[in-house]
Amino acid sequence: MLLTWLWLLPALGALAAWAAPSRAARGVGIAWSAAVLAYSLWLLLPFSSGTGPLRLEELSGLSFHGIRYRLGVDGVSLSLCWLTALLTTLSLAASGVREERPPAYWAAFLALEASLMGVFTSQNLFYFYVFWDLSLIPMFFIIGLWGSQGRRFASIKFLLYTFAGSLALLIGIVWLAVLHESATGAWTWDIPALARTPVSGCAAGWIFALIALGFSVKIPLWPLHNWLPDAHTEAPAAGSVLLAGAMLKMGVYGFLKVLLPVFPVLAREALPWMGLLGVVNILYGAVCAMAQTDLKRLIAFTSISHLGFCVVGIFSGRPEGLAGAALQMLNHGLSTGGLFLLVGMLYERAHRRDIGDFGELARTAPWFAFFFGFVLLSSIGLPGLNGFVGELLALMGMAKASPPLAALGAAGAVLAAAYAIPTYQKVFWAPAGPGSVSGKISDMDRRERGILWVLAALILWIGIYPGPLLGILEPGVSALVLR
Amino acid sequence: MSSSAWVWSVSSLLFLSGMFCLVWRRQLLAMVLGLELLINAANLNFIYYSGVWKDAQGLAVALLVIAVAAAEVVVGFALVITLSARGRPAETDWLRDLEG
Amino acid sequence: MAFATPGLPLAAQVLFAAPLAALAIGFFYFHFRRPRDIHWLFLASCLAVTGASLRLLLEVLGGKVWDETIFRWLIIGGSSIEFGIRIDGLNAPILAMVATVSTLIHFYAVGYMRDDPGFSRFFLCFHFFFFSMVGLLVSHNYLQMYLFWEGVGLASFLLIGFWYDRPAARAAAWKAFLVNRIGDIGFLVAILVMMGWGGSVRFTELFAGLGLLDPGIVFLIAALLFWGACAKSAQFPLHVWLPDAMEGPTPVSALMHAATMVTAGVFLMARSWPILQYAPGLLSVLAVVGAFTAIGGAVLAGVQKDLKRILAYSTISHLGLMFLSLGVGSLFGAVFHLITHGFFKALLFLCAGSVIHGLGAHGTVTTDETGGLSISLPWTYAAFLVGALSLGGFPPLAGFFSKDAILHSLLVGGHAAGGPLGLLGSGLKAAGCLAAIASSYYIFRMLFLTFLGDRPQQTGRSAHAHEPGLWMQVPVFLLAALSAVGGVIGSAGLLEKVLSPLASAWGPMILVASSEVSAPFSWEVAGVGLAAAAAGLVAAWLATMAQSDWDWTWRMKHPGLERRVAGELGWQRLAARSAGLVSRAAAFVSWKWEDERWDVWTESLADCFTGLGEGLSGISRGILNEYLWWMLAGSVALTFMIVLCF
Repeated sequence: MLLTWLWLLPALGALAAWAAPSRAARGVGIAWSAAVLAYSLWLLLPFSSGTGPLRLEELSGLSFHGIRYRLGVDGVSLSLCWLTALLTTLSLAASGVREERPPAYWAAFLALEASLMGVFTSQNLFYFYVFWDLSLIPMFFIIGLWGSQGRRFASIKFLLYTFAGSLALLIGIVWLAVLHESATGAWTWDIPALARTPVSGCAAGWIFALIALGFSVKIPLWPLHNWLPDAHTEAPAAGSVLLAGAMLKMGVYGFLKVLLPVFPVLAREALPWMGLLGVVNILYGAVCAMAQTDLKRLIAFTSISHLGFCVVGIFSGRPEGLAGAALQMLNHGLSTGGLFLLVGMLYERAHRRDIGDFGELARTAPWFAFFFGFVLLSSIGLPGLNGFVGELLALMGMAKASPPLAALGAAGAVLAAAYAIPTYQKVFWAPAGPGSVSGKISDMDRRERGILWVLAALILWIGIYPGPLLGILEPGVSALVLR
Repeated sequence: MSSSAWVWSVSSLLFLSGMFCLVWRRQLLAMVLGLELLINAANLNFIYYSGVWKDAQGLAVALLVIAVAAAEVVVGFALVITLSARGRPAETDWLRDLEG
Repeated sequence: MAFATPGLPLAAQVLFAAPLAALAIGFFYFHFRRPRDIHWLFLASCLAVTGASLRLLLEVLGGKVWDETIFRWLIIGGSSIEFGIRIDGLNAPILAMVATVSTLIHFYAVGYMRDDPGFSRFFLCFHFFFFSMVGLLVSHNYLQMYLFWEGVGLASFLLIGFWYDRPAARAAAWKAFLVNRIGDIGFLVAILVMMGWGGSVRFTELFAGLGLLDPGIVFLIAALLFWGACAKSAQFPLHVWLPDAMEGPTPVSALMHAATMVTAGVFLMARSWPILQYAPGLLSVLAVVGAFTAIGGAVLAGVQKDLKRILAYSTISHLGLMFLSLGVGSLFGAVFHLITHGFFKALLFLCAGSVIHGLGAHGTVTTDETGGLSISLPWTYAAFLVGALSLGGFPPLAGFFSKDAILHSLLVGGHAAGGPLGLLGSGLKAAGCLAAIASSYYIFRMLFLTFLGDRPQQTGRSAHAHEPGLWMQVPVFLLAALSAVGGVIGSAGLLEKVLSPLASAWGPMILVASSEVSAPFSWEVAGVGLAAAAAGLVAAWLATMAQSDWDWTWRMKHPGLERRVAGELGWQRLAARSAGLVSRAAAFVSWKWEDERWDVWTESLADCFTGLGEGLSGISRGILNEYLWWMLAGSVALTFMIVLCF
């Protein structure tokens, strides 16, 4: 029952928040999400000793054509659950103070959290897919109802695009299950069992491509990345945090837990292509970010860039690369989540998020300058902060597998400064233009500082002493090492 | 010609003319007329074949259909009267709200 | 390996503990509550670190070496990366110099930045730099060094752009960060290669295994590290950031861009000495690049008007000399010059700062505004004179001995790199001598233009210049003393004493020729050095003080030439253009491609479906008769199907 509570608790919280009177809804929402966070942390702690048990629980007896309710976690999944819970709590704490939010808002976030928890804990592919698609619904409403000007278009684009990807995923999964049934006579949707399916080369290639397509849309992998800038830009701050911080990880998680275990040989063969696409992500995201003037769109492109490192790490097939990919998922959640929270705080005050609308913000809002700089440095991979560890490990893994790609990735990692530093200078240091709103922006209050301190402390700790966290993550990925 | 052939041809004629009225004509009244013709064509068949197979169910159905037809005509005429009371012509050229 | 000894002494721990504690307390308490008092904290930390480094130097002189792991950073797969401290003959003397100079400049900065509203922010960044520099020097593996390398780069960025309301400062800070980051690519890829093929990033383990590696890999590592070092140590063509970096406050220029940070590249090369020995071709490249930079920097320094830019180009030139020294195989010369350069360059910068401060200027001062300041700033003049004599290479000051060591290895010592002699060798020798003459020329030109004579363009300010307070004066005098007597460390064999155990330990690992860790003295070379210094002095006199007044006349006759030389004959503009090209490319990709094409393709895909829907909706136009036709057709088709099936 322990694991079920991971998704059941937020689901109940969603109902509670929806039913609560509108004044109390915010408190209910934050309290429930904090409870989920505490619970996930409590579950995570036993794993810190290095090799926690692979917890499994299932409702036995209830199996319809192999569709069995089966949950299981290891270090990687549980840490992603923890990250989701943390980001939900922090983003809910950051919202709803300066603008009124109806109970449905809080309920939507908790429902999103519930579905994400379900994705990260499901061991049965059917339930995995159900939770996967369920997450689209609250996010659609979050973007569509509470986003900014272009929200209707962005929410529909987000839904249709990612849903199309999910369809590819569904076709691949069902095909695989059907092949398994025709080969062995038994229906199953469990990942380890499906991995043993004897699949012919042609069909295997198609299934691999379809499933990879489904996950790639989520990551997002170039060239399927178009939905991300619009969705991130138009979503409300808390929505962007969860979208970038947690939902994008579903794709990476899918690669790690579904695709690689089922098709290890094909994954090794796909290395040149997927590794190349990962590097393209890194460089393309960074280059596009350089030219943006909308702060949120800029951060959206940096997301694309960071997740390129995850892909590079996964398809390197080496323990360092895989551990780096797993770590980079968490790092990206923390740093990009932090950036979106900060931009959201600025937007709440000024209702603008164009770089040209600010200027000399360091004078009127020094705390913003400090936290923004800190999180931005983490984002560009300054050594000593968390981003560097993940990127380094991913590149280390790729160095052996494909040195030219690793060199390109290193160049991308280092040149990330090109989008971060000029932006920082223009927003915080350069003199304010005539239309600037910098003078009206009040500095961060205690609540907001507290939220960012939590993130900053985690960023610094992971950067300086990543050992324990890597110890939690590594057992989960060690089985995936190719060759 | 045998009696069944006669019945076949008459009811087909009725059916076809009814079909023509329904599909081709644009005035609502004419379409209702067409519907009546269709219904009567079907009724003819029911009555004839209940006689041929000595089954009373056919006659029962025919009576039921007459009743339904009457109700249907009432609805159709009510539509026409309502429309003309509002000054709208009862023609399909003018009644296009069910589009899209 | 006879390197490591167990246990780290307290002094080594103080190296990290003191600055970290000072930074933490300074940020969380002093910065908000008592910003004007924050400097006491950092002065205490500096003194502690200086004491510790001197203590460690004494121990190293006694022959001790430390190479300890403090904690394991991560263990993944087969690789393990640790953090640790290594203190040996190479970094102990450099650390002592860095700590001493940093402490003195911290004191100086208290006086210099006293009236600045960002006083506490300045000291936080300044001390963060100090912490990173110390960490860089005592790292025991390349990755740790890279971490502090980036930290130093970050501090440089924050401090160059300290007066962030000035667009020139912002631009200079960004330029410095960017160029340094371009070099960092090389360093990072070198680390990746080391981890992947070299087996380890730790110095001891990597060097021990060099003989077993593919020579191509070793050359690659060496070349990549050289790339990284070039950016940090402002070698051509990655030197473009250093002249602009003078936008920062003078203490920053003195500490970072003269004495310490820019020497990190030289230190990296020195630390990687065994790797370089395996790549003799690269040593020739080092020498050539160093020589070119040395001459280029010196020539450009001789034509600048801005006081700090003269010193900036001078730094570039001297860094080139250090690289040249490394390239011809003299580790001793490079390290010796690194240390003495730290003393006299910092001194010269601080004197320039005193001039700027004394004239009441904000930022910097050009030679147009100075002249005859020896009267109103006598003490500064005296200190500057000592620094100039040292830089020029006049005995018995420190600069003479270190330059002599370099000249000796150039002119007399065999090219230990084993590189081609003949044309290249003669070229390098000529370059070294020319650079020596030129350095003497530019520094004495600066002295004459600033402190002596009576320039016609002089403004009224110089008459009212005043000496700075004690906070600034005392460090200047101490540095003058060090610049004067600092040569003793080399000539008295102290440096040799610490470097030779290192070299002998490396000895078995080195395939190619031996490296020089000592410099025997020879009168011929000393004579050459003295002659070069004197020649430069005389030329400077002729150019500025004598009747010919050549320095002024060529500017008047060829104004366009001056502008072009200031722009380094177009090199700076080229660098700016390439950066502009990248941002234009970024804009192109982002807007033309991503927004206008990619997005449009995706959305047109969606439009296809919408169009399909709209087309199909033409069926239901609202005309009842049409619906009825469809129903008829449908029922006919259905009837046919049923009939056919039976």
